[in-house]
Amino acid sequence: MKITDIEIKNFRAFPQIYHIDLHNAGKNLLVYGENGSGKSSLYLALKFFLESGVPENSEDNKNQAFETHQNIFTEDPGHIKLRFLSAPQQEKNTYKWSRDVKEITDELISETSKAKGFLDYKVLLETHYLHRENDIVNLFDLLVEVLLANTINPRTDRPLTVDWNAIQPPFPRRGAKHQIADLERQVVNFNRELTNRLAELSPKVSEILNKFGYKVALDFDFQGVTYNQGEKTLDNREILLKVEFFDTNIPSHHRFLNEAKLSAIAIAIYLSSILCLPEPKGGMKILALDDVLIGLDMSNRLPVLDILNEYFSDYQIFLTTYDKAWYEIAKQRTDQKDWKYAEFYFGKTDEYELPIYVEDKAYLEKAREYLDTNDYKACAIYVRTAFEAAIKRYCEKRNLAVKYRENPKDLKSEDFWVPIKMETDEAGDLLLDLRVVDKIELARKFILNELSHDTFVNIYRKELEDAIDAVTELEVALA
Amino acid sequence: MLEINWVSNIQIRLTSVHFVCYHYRQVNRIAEEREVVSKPLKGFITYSHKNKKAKNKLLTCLEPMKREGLIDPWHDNEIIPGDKWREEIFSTNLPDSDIWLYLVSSESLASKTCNEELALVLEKNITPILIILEDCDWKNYKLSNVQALSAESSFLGEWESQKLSDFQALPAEGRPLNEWNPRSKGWQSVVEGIREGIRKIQLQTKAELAFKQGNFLLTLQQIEQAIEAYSRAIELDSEFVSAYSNRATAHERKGDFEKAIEDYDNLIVHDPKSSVAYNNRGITHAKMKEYNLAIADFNKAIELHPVYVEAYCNRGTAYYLQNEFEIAIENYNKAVVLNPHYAGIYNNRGATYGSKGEHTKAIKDFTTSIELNPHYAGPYNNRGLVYANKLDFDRAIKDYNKAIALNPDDASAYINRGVAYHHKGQYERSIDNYNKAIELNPDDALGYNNRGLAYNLNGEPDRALDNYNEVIKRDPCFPEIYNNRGAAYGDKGEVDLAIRDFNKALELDPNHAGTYNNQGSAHANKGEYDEAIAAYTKAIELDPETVAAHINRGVVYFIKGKVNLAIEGYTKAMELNPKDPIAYYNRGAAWLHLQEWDKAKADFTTAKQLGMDIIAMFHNSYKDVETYQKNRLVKLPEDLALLLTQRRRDRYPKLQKVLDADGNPLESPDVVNLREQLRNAGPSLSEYLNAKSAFGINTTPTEVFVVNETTRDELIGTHPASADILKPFLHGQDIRRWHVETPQQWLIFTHRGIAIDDYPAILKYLENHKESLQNRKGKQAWYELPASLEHAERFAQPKLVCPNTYNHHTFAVDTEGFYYGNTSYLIPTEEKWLCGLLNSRTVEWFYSQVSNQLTIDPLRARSGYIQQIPIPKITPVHKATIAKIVDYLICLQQQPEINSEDLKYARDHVMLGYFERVIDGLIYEAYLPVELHKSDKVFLQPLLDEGLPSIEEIQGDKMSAFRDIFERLYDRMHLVRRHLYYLDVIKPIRVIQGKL
Repeated sequence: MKITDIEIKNFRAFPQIYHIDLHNAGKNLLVYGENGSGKSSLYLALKFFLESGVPENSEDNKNQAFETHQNIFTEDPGHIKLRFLSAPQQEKNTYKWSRDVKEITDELISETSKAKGFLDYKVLLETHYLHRENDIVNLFDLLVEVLLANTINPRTDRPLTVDWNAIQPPFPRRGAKHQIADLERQVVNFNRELTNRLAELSPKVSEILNKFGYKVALDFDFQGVTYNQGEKTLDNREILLKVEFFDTNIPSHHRFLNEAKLSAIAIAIYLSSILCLPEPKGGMKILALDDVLIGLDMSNRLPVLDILNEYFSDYQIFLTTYDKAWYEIAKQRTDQKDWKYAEFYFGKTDEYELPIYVEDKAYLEKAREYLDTNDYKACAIYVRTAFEAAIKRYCEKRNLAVKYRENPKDLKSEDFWVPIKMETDEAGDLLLDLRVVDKIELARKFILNELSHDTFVNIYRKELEDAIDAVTELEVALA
Repeated sequence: MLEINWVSNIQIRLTSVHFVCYHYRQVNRIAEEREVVSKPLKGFITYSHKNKKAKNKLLTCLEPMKREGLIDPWHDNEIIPGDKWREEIFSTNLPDSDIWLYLVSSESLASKTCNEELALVLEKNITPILIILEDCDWKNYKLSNVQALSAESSFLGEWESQKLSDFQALPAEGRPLNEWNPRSKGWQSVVEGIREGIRKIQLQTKAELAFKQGNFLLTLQQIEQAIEAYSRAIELDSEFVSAYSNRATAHERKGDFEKAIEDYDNLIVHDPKSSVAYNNRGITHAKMKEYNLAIADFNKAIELHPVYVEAYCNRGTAYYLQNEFEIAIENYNKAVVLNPHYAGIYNNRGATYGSKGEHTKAIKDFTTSIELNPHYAGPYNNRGLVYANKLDFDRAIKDYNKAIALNPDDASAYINRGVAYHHKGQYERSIDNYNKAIELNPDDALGYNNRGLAYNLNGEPDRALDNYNEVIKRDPCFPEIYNNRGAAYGDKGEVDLAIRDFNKALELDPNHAGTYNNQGSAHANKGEYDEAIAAYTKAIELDPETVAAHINRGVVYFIKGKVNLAIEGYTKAMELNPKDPIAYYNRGAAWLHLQEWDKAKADFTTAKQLGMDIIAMFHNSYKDVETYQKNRLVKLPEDLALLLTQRRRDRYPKLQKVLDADGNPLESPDVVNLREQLRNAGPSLSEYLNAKSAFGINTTPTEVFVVNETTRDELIGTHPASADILKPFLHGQDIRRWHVETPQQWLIFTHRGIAIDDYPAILKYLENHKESLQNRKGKQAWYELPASLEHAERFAQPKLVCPNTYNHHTFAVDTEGFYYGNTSYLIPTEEKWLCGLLNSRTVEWFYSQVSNQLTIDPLRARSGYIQQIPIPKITPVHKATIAKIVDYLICLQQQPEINSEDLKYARDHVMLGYFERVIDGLIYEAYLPVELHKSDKVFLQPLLDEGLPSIEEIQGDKMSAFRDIFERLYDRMHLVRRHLYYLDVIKPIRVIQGKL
């Protein structure tokens, strides 16, 4: 069960109709977007669409009306339409959320909403406000009010945040015995629930954190909040992070929990909480991460892709980022078969601002398009890009030794191509058919060599076609 | 008989937008402190030294006046002013002078010093008198010349365009002295002129004193005396414009607008360029509702002073009061441009937008006004009104609160707040507010009218009538008062009085459709159907859109047997309001009469879907289907009969109010339909059990009949037979969910007819308390409980028990034969699964729906409602599965881990809660199998597949066995867990879980 099409009209940043085709396969979506270009609007479109199916008595109620998200530059009624494919060859179902459709009553959408994971960068900003002293970090607020706020208490069927709000002030006046007893009973139940939740989470969190390359086991130290009758306060709001190091070689443990690591831990906790959800019946699971990786070092971002690959392969994933370099890397690290790439740019006309949506087709596909329109120069650029992307990706995938250059930007295609030419398979035979190598070498002379810009004047159609063939074959061989 | 509706008589007259503020600019001239009148005036003589002869002559002439103490002349004594002298002149002598005598000649006009002195005279407002010595060009001498000569003078302002000739000039007619023959005559004229000038100044000073006195009195609110003082001032100085102005203000405050206008007229005669005078006269005209005159005045004021903010604002207000909103707004806009920080203008413009119905703009303006001046109650009150018009009563009340806090004596704010509470249905609070308003302003009929309406809707028609009578006493022409009073009489059933009032109301307002409708209903209730039809018809003629009149006329037609006309009326009503269940129900009844079964069924179904309890309605009209069939010798088709029949219910609940005052359902149809669905799920508990449930026995005085272990042991020790009638005993509050602890107290069960002599120890014990035992009511002997041996049998049986008050449904299984007091409710049964059913969320929800739920916790067990709980028809396997988990829970409740607050056992608690949820799942499946299965949610089958052991089959450590079972069922991939988690996607489940 996957989303195959998204259509957004007059919603938040989108003043017109935008159509995002996730192909019949219901691909994952990786979006690059400049700030203010509409990528967060896309994230919210999905989120509110799904939540419109579950009108709970929660704080989120204010998101239930489409009108509040109307694009400000137009008064035409807008909508969000999603098309779903439940299984190949089956009919697609279309659901619409708009001013007239207040709530999507379909049980499937409701179920999807309860199984979804939606995390945005604001959450990770919270990690910067955590109180930290000598490597003792109190995660209480982050966990209770943010990361686990919407997780459901299996005893009450209510979100944790509702249970938490139930024990907030105003507290009963002193001497109101029954009310105080009632409050204390609720406090105890809250403690039990949170304890249990943390116990369920912590092995998964450690597991995911290990994928980030941290050889540690995480645990949460939660002693339970207590109601202080005298002061009328809720005390001991503490969940302390306990880190146990397997690898004693880490020189300074007390500086382990820096902000980047806390971001990684927060992501790990959130992802774990999603992984602990009961399996939905319809099998539709959506994970959306809006810019969340920006809080991470580049070295921590790549493991996230691995984590998504390993734990969330049955989810439909929506990733957005405003970091172009990371976008390019992620594009290479993900499989085109499963992923769709798109870019948003911030456009401005006299009348309004609008996002410009660029579907990022495969380079070779684009090259062929330009060939068809006889724009040989553009075609050549795309073929070369395809060639470079293919060899770089292969080298990274196989960890091939590549010539060292101080600045990675100085790496030349030669640096990647030479080791690939030399690469052998298990039997000791060369990986690449010599015929392919010849074709590539031939193409490199005219087209694939990035130093040959000034010779572009004399590109012939035949040579371009040959180059496209050569790179296509190379991609197959390296796949 | 079908329902006849009174047309809703909520015709509340809102107080109009709070009166717009007027902007006075009072011209209270601040009188300078002057010396007492009797002191000689100081006269400063300015002259050119060339004219020193003339100066000396003048001094000689003034000598007599000087001796009379009228004047004290000062001159520079011919010394050429050095710096010291200069300072003496300019900082002391000249500024202190009252009168300035200027000897005018060509030389003096040319003199720099003379001009500097003139400049200072103008600045200090000293009375100037010119003495023309010779023919020179003084008549054309412009005062603006002075400025050029005098470096520091920048004050000229109003003098700019004037000339010397505007001052009093002597001798008479400004004829130069050297032209007089003999010259002494000329000097005589000068002396007379000065004498006259001094007298005038003296009068002015007196007038000034009187004026100051007036101002003082006015601030003391002694208006009459102030007017007298101002009049005196005017008598002394008929040109005293400020006195006119202030007297006008005083008259106005007194409410004597005519006189105020007279004064303004005088003022304008004396000072025709005074924009302030026109503005103020405009305000008075506006207060007299002479808007055209007012606007003319404001126009003039603006013409004279084109940036006069207040005048624009006032003109806007004058237009506003004539409902010329567009023009008013234009004026306010201009005022805002001139002064964007003037809170009052925003308030006024907001009020105008509010009157135009442009709520958003109005709110914005009021908010701006509040931001600019947060201490002014008006804009809060006004914004509240706008919110109220938008039906946002909570916000409105918030604003009224603020307005009242700022100005606690404003009756209209209380009325407005009352109206807001009224609309919220909180009549008692609204009455409180009206009380306060009436206390503040007992002469305003509006407060009484509104209070009457509130009482009427609060079900107190008598008090409503009292209030309406108060209204009529104060204002017999109060709009709709007779209509309202008539409706109150109608509600009381005093139809004749009602009709009399409606007639009176129609006399006053012959085009009021609502009154005709009410009159029709009154006639109908009297059985005067033709009159009723005529009245309804008139109502419809006047207002063809009135739904109530169409329905009501339909009802009367129906009663008269004109069923087709009735149907026509109902159909019309539906066209006008497709959501009115009454129209559908009534048309359904009409179709029923015509034996159009399908159409009847369709209409009844729609009425039901719209939230109406049609079964109760049918019951009110025809009792039940059988009676209907018997009386009319017809047979209803089965499906229709079923729709109108209450199945398996012991008695009808109190007719629930299903519609609010505007005819909208109070409860969502989801709730109503689910309640009906559950009710029809199976036989009621009492039918199902075939045994009587009841409360425990009355053990008063409990401290005597219920004893602790020590006393029990003593009693048995004294006489062993005591043990036979000492029974383990529990109070309601001892009962917990699922399981009851073995009691630590015992009841002395002296049932009626007991052979008490067989139990001497007990008898002896009871004799110690004989006095209190004898004081009990009832037929039992003093030592007996009000209980028979049958009670003993009841207690001995296996049973379910629950306390009579609780937060959550708290049923427990008791197989031990414990005894209970009357704070416990006992259901005799062996079927443990029923305990699971009764503790389930579904039943708790249903119970809260049907019982007369108290407004506050805790819930209360009521036999009648508990016995109504429907028991779904399910298979024995289903029941056995529930019972199995009930057994787990009973066992779990006894484990120390469960009773520990140590977070070590947190997961065990989750287990307990989870097992309860599993039972909930099984119960949902029992009541709502179709809904659950449609959504692929099942519980019974996966639990059967799990092969859960019964409690007896569990060997060894039960706790660890439970934990194993729990971990299996709680796994995120287990169907039970998955179905529980996603259960609330099903709508009825969301209703039960309180998420809708």
